[in-house]
Amino acid sequence: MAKDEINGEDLKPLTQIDRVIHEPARLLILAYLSVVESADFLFLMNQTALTRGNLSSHLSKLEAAGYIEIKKEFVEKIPRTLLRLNEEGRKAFQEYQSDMKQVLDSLSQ
Amino acid sequence: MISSVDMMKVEREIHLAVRRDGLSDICSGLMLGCMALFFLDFKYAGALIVGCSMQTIILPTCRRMITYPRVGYVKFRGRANMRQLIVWDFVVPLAVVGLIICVGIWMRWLLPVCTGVLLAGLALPGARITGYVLDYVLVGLFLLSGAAGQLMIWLGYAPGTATAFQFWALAAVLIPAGLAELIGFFHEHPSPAQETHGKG
Repeated sequence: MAKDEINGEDLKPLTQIDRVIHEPARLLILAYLSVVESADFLFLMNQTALTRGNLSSHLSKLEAAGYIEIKKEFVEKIPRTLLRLNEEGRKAFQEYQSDMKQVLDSLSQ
Repeated sequence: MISSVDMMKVEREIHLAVRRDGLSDICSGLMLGCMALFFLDFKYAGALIVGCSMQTIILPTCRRMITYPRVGYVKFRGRANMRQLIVWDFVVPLAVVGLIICVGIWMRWLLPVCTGVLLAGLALPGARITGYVLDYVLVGLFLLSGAAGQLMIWLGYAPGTATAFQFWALAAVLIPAGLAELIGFFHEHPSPAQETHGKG
């Protein structure tokens, strides 16, 4: 009976969900980057518990989508890969959050 | 799924990852230890500058050498605009120093309580961000130290001496606690070189 009460219009955002962000590992990466100004590769690897290759692959996808900026620099002759969520990424992440909230709210009704 | 991603929790996790190195406790203890000299005798005004340098120069340097190579580098969001930057990085520290000096001149008998409340007030926002139990214990400890210092005044000690002992007592708690945390941090995060060697 509960299924009958779900309005198709309420679930419309589900079809528009950003699939780049919807992947759990990428969602976690964006969640971490959204609360800091920038973080390096090692920090994200420790926090997300992803392997080096896995994290690198997800970061490439997020960079290709235009959500994050990857900057390579040297600090005291040690290479550092600095990652930052750009404005577009921040906006997309916020939209994703509100879309998902809308969908989940309509499902729980 | 997204509802389970509690952003506040994520922010706390990030702050805790850096905070658990114990360095901020050690540097706070050293800072208070230095500043105590100023309260003992105003001619040691330079101790205030040395004390402040523990937080502004020594702590970031230690973090760069010890913490970041192990847990990675993270830059927290800075002040949103120039006005906030001026207020929080210049006006607030100056107001704190000014308040301590004013209390030291006109209300000397309240110096330990005022410094205790002031330190607790400065530590509370940090505790609320990290949600770390030890940070809340620290806030309580600052308040308790103020009461203990006040008790010393009632027992006949000079306000400056009581405040100096209050700061040294805090340093005596903070530095060993920080060192214990730092040792735990080293065990949890071996140096990158050691890790590679171990795996090799």
